[in-house]
Amino acid sequence: MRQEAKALLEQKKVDWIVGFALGSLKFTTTPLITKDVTDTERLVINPFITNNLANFLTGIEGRVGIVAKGCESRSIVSLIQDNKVTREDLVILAVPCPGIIDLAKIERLVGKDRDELEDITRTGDKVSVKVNGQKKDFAASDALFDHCLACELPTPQEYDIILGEERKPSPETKISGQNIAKLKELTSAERWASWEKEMSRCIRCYTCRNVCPACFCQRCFVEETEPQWTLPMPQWQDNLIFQIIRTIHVAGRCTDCGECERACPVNIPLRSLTREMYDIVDELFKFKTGMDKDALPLMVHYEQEEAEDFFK
Amino acid sequence: MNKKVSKKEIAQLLQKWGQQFNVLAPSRASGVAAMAEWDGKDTSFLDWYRNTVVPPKARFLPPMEEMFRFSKDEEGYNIEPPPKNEQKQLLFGIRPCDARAMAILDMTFEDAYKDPYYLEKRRNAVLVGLGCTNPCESCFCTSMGTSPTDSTNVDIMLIDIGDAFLVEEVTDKGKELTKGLKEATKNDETEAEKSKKTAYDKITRKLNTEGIKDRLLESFDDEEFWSRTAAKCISCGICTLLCPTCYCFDINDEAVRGEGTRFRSWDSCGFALYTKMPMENPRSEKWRRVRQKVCHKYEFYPMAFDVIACTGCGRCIRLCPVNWDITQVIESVPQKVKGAK
Amino acid sequence: MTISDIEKRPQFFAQDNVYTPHIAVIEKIIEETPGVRTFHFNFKDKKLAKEFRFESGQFGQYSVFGLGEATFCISSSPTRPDHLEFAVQRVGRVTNALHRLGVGAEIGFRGPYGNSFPLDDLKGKNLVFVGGGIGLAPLRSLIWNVVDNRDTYNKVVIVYGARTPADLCFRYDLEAWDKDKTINMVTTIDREAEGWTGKVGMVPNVLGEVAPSAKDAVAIVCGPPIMIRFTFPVLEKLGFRPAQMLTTLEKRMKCGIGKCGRCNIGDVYVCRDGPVFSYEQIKNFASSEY
Repeated sequence: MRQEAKALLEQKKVDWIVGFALGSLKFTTTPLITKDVTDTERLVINPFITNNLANFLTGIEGRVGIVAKGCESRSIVSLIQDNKVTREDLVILAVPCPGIIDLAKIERLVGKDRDELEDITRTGDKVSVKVNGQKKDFAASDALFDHCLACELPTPQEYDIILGEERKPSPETKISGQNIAKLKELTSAERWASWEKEMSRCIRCYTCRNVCPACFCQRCFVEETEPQWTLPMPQWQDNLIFQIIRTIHVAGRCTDCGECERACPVNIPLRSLTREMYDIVDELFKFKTGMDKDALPLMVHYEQEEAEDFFK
Repeated sequence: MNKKVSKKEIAQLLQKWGQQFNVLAPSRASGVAAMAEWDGKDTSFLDWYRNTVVPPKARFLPPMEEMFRFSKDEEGYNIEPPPKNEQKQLLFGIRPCDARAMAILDMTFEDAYKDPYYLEKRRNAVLVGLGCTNPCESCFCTSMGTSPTDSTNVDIMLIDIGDAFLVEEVTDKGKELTKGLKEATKNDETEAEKSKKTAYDKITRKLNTEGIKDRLLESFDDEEFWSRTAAKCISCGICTLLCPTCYCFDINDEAVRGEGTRFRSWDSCGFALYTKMPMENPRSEKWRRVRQKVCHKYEFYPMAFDVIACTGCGRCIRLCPVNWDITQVIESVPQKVKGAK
Repeated sequence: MTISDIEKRPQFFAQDNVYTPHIAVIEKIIEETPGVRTFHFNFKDKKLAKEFRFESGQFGQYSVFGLGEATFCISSSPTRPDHLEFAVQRVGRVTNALHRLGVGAEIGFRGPYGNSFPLDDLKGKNLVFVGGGIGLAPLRSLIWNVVDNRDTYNKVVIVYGARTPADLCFRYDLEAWDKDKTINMVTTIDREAEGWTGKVGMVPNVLGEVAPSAKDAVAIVCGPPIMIRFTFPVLEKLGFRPAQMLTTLEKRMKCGIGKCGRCNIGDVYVCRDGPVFSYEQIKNFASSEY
């Protein structure tokens, strides 16, 4: 991968390389966005490559060589369909992805903070955690992110170079959809109270919006003052309005990459909203963002078989 | 004179304090460590507590705060202060980095015009510090003028000595709290010194801040450096909102038919609209906002108050979704030859 | 180094709280241009109305209760304290709401905030006022202050311009200053317009033509940032040193007292250490973002 990236820059086939490098903490990675050939030595692939790199495409000018897991490639396809990015400006380095390890889940399983873990490795469908010299094994399905368990496209369909063995999808939607299933069992009043509790923690950092590749608006609706859709203050009612409107706004562009929930510093179960929206979009329009590169963007075109009667 | 209290007696002690104060202690609701109202019995946080996600500044400069209420009658507008909150707070378990951050924030809110909301809460609060035993990988307090067991900015400091805590009395307010506690023995004090040294040595992250003020001043217009530094930043607000020394706020009204409340709420220099004016926005580009954050904390604040507005708590490094690391950035600020561009 | 001396400034806190506004009543509204209105107001509290003092260059935070606050300089002169004035250009939520208010409406006022024009440094000097559009607002406070104490100051030149004749603000002032034999009043518009017989040209260019002498002179420049950036080089060419050029910086503000962080440039808060700065001070800011 490093050689491919180096070659792309040296042969001036791209202006930028976007990939993953080791982070400054154990078990983290960080996006690498560089024009520098020597930086390509820092590119890595490991079980901790979170971040949807497609998010950076709308902010870079020029041709980009981008490392892409399955979720990135879906977001890239969606951006191309929305004309935010041109296919010819991209060289996609596909990385078939076995799923990313959720450090929070590991911490809960082992009962220790990440600073006290010595090593975490993935072999096949096992995840081994070394702590205090001892190794503990867990099933991968207990240690991966929920959105990875639900993954429908581990191997990019749209790419220029593929780095690794193709992987077939095997979504475990039952495990990955547990939070939503639990919510659906509640009564309407209980569910509302549950959201009030979750949204009371929200501090309006807007990380959920800023990590999302589908949120590429130059001016977000929360920044409007005439009319003021939601107050810029973190009271739970306005926080909830913000999330609901954002979820509806990304419908048809959300790939359930799960970054919003991963990045939230106060553990708000945002996927419960976005995945539910994703499923509703699939049910109503038979559309899954980024799976079909020849599809038209959902919210921008109209089919005769539209669900709503008043259109017909 | 130092006192001591065994870990088994902490619950009792908190209950005693609870008669005078609203006791806040670490809790882990929904997996998020935060200072919350103590439930009256559970002290299991002593086993897992490292530091909170939301810093203690939230108790003094809340994410959202009423400033005053306004209403209208036939004679015009009336303004009323918000209902008075006479409650005294006791923050149990505040870390030295966060306590130092409170002292750094005090400088701003006391300077020139006194901020009544913040200062009243500060006056009515007591800080019970808890020295660290297990610093995180992201901690770098020892490079920022403090240590895992520094007692400078709290009312009393608890140092872990195994089954008990050594209690260092720091202020008069603190001495009021420790009435009735046993005196510490010489052995306790030796254990405490050992505990302090162990915690100090566990800090692995170091940052050399020598000359940073000048390096930043000279590099201010280096667009290439700042663009590279800002490349992976996504301009969310996490590093600023959850930083214990950040204090930027916004002021907004909420009203129905002309009656309502004026609030202040957390804001961030990282947001694109923070400096937007009708005709121009001096920081519409991301690299300018990233530059502002770094320079404000490591250059402008020291110019005004002689102290770097960072205490090495490490939250920004841990919580940043792209692992943008302030220590890496500070180390990479170029040393420019004076006069050269 | 912060440049404030807050203790010397007049302070009027409502309910002992720097964030609480006083209630003020609008007494007169003048439509300067289709987008700009001047409001004359007075405090509801008669005692405060009598005691209130401010200095030219200072600003206030004006509230439309329920919608928020906006920052405007006090455009009336401290030498004429029977009422206070401010000028508002319609650009957003709060300013549009202000424009919808009528005489008798109540607003909030917090202030006076900021520093002021250094009158002691202007004594006996030749004054060159350069203004554009609504930028005349802070200048007019100082100009009337000067006119009301005419003998304290030497020559007065005013160069003021707007895009079109319809955009000229404070026309009643321009006429009065034009009639004043001790003032050289030069009004200009950017491009030729039907019926306009005065000067034509951008303010910095016209200033170059008027070419006031830099000897014992101080220039005070207020207007859109782009006009200021083009005016400073013209003044430098005429021999003005940076310490001889004053301006008022404009930044988005909320608290007005140097706490919320918005107007921070380098180690300075424009609301607390400014808005009046000399070009020399600006050049020494730790940040080049003005």
